[in-house]
Amino acid sequence: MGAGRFTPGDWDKFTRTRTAGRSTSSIFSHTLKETLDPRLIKNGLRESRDSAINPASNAIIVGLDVTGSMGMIADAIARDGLKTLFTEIYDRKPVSDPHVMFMGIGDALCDEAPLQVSQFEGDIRIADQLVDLWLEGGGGGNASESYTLPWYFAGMHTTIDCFEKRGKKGYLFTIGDEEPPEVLTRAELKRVLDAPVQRDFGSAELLDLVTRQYEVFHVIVEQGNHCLRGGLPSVLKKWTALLGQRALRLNDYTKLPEVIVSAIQVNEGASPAAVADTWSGDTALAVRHAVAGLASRPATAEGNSTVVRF
Amino acid sequence: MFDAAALGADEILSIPEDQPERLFGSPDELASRYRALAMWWHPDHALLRGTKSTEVFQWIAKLHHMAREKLANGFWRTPGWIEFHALNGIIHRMSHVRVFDFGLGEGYLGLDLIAYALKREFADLMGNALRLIANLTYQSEEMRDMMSSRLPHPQENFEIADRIVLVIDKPADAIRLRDLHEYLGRQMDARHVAWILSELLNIACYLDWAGLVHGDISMDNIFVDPTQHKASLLGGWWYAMPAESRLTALPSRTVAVMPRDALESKRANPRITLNGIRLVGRELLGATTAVPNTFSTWLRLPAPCTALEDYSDWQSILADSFGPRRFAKLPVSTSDIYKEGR
Repeated sequence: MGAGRFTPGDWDKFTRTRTAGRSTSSIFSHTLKETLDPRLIKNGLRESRDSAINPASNAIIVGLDVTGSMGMIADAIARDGLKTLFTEIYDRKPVSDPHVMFMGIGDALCDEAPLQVSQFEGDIRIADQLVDLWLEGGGGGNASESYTLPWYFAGMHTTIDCFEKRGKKGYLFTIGDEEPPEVLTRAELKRVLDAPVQRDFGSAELLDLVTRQYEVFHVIVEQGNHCLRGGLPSVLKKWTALLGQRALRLNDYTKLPEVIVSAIQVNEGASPAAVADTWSGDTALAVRHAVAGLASRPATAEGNSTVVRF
Repeated sequence: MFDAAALGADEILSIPEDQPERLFGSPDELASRYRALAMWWHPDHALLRGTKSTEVFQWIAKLHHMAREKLANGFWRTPGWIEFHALNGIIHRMSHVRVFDFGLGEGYLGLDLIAYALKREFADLMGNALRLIANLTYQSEEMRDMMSSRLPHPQENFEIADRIVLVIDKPADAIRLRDLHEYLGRQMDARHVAWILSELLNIACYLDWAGLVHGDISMDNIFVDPTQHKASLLGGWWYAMPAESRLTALPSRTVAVMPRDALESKRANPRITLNGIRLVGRELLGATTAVPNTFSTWLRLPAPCTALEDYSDWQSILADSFGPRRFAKLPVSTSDIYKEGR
C-alpha cells in the first residue's frame, strides 16, 4: 500500500466532514474494526511499496497509546497533527515519500484490542484509518502498556521497500506515558496475534528484532496521568535503559508531529540544536526538550560485510 | 612459443588492470612476453598496427607494472591455478575451482583444499583462528567421531609479501553453501534449509560445550554434502572467540543481527552464533514462498540464551512444520557445481 500523496485539499475535506465541531467519541470508533485487527491481516503482512507517485518510499510507524486518557494524542493528530506530519516531512525532506502507518497500543494483559494496525498509506486514506482506531481507554494499572507489541508486529509482519530495496531502515515511534513492559509472554502473543512462538520474549530481545528493519524511538508523554502522578522518573529511567537517547520527552502533546519530524531529521544527520531553531515559539521549546540529547546516527557499515573492530 | 601478433588491440585493452596474468602467462614468461608485445605495439609501428597502437602500448606497460607488483607481493594467478611465493622461498601451487572475496582477503576453493589469504592487517585475526582451531577438544571419542569432520583441519600456513595464508582440508564431497545456493537460483526449498539448520544447531551445541562463539556464520563459511545431509563449519574462524570474552572484531553482517546485550557489553555470548544461524536460514530461503508459518516465525525471532535450549525448541519446530522426519533428496553433487569453467 502507499500509492498516493497527501494534499491540503484532501485534508480540508477530511477535517470538514470528519472532525470539525465533533467530540472525540464521535470521531473515533467504538469497537475494534476488522480492518485494523492484526489477526485478520491478509497473508499476515502489511506492505509499504514504492510506486510511480512515491518512487523512494520510507515507512514511518506511529504507535499511539489508546489506554486511559492517552486518547488525547490520537484526537490531536486527527484534528491537526497529521497535516503537520506530512507537510513538514514533504517540506523538510528528512526522508522522501513517507508512507505512514498508525497503530493503537493497549495492554495485552487485559484489553480487548491491545494492538490495532492500519495500512501504510501516503495519502488521506491514513486519516480515515486513524479515526477507525478504537480508543479503548483500558490499561491494567500495571505501570506499563504493551509498547513492545508494535515492535513484534513491525519486526515480523511488515515488509517495506525502503529497507528491502535500498537497505534504509524505516522509522517506528511509540508514544505513551507508562513504563515499557519487561516481557511479552507467549500467551499474550498467541492471544493478540495468534503467533506460533515457543517462549516469552524480553523487551530487549524484541528491540533486537525490530531494529533490524526500523529506527526505533519512544516518546514519553509527560502530560499523561501516569507521569503527572509521580511516575515520570521511573518511566524515564526504564525507557532510557532500553533505548538510550531515543527515549524522547514530550512536554506538549500537541507538538508530537513536530517532534517526530525533528527526531527523523536529527537521525538523518542534522544537529538537534539546528533543528530546534527551525521551529518557532512553543514548538521550538518542545522540540528542544525532546531531541536535545539525541545524537545524529553514526555511520555504520551496510551492504557488503566489512570488519567491525571493538 | 608466444606470438605477440596473435592478440588484437581490443583483446589486450579488455584485460582488467588486476588480471595481468592473462597477458603474461607465467612468472617465467613475464619478461620475454613483455619485450615481444612492446616491440609489436610500439608507437613507431602505428601505421602498421592501426590507430590504437599507442593506447595498447601504454596499456601493456601498465599491465606489466601491475604484474611486477603482484609478483613482488607473492601472488600469481592463472585460470585454475594459484601460486603463492612464500617469504621463506617455497612456492605453493594449488588448483582451484572458485576464487571468492571474504572481506579479509581472498579464498581459493580447490576440490580437496581451501586456501584463505588474509591481508596482513588482519594478522591478529589469523593468529586467533589458528590458536582456537589448534585447541579444539572433544569430551569423548564419540563426540570426536561426530564433530571432527564438521570442523576445520589446517594443513599448512605461511606468509607471502602482503598476505598470510591458511590452507585447510576440504572433504571431497563438500560444496560451499554459497555455491549451492547460487546453483539453485538463490532460493532453497524449506525442507533443505531445515536439514542444514539442524546440522548447524548441532555444531552450535558443540561450540557451546567447548565454550566458543563463532562470529561469522555465513554461506561462505559453511560447506554441505547434500547426499549425506551433512554440514561443516570450515571458514570464518578469524571471528571465533571464547564465550564471555571481550569482542575484538566481527563482520558487519553479524553486528547487524547480534543481541543488544552483547553489543553493549562487548562480550561474546552464544546468541551471536545462534542469530547467525537464523540469518543464514533466512538468506537460504530467499524468495521461497512455501514456508511453514512456524518455521518462518522461528527464523525471524531472536535466539534463546543457549544452543541446547534452541536445539530443543527446534525439534518441535521441525515436527510442527514438516511432520515426521523424512530424508529430502537434493540430487546435487560437487561435479554438478564445480564443472570446469563454471
